[in-house]
Amino acid sequence: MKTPNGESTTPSAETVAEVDFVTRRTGLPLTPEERERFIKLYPSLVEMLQQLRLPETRYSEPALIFPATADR
Amino acid sequence: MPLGYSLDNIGPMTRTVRDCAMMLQIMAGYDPADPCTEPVAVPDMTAEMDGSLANVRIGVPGEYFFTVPELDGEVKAAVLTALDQMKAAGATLVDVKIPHAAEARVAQRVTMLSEAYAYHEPTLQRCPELYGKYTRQTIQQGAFFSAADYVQAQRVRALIKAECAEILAHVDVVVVPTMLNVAPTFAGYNPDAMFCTPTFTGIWNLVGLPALSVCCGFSDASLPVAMQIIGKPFAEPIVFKVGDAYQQITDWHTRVPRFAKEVQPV
Repeated sequence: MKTPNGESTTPSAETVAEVDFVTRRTGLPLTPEERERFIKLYPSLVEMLQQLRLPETRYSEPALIFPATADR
Repeated sequence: MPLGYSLDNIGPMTRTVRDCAMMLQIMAGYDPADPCTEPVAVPDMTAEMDGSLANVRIGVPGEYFFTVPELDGEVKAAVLTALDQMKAAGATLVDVKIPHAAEARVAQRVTMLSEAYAYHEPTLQRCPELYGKYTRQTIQQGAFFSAADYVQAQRVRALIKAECAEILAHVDVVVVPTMLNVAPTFAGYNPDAMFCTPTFTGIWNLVGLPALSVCCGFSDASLPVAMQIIGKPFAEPIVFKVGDAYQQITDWHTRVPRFAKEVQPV
């Protein structure tokens, strides 16, 4: 199996279990090819999402992002 | 049909900037039945098109947009040449910085795919065959994002929005490359590789700024290269002014890729 960048890798059992869990929970009828693709992508996806955990936003005021008024 | 509820918007594609401005003049405006529109008066889109770049301040965020290793050398050279030409025509280039530009790619992707998945979920569950292969596989990614990921993306979005507003308080427009590379062929197309590479377009979509893509050269393989001109919210006239003035001093927009001539019917 290869990563999105073409590097060879063997998926961990944890990755396979995570992908199968999400697939089961969401009810997505993945083809075998699509399942393999997500197993391949999943580690990159987890790494990518970590980039959103910025210290600058950790304590930012939620109301600045989701205003309670209708006329924003 | 929506893709991203908070991102979707429409814009014209034309050969000249003037045509684009005239098209948008007709398309833009408030519609009480469309919650995606704002009750803001539509400006005269061509009013500032005087062919001049004198006194125009162009922000150039060198970091990230011109320094990522994935940026094709031909693309970088073409956009830098365009900036030099605009400077020679009277514009002032100003170094600016968007500290979290790199994170915009992730925030935009999580926002877009989460929103797309929310809309398409029932159809993807029941009739996935109705989607093309790449579209289906792309939207399916949204299933793997959590609520916390989506909320975090909106917090990053607000942060980058503030960074862009700070820059645009001091310059009229910002100019960056449109794409990392020239157009890929199907032979080398790998949608999963795009998953990991920087992008220069999603950030403006994410923060809601008007962006115009203008051809600024051709690669050795005769494929077009483009730059983006980005302005403040609802400041399309200055964006069009800069794009039109650039097209007055260059002729890239009148050229046709070699392959397009080859496939033209006799």
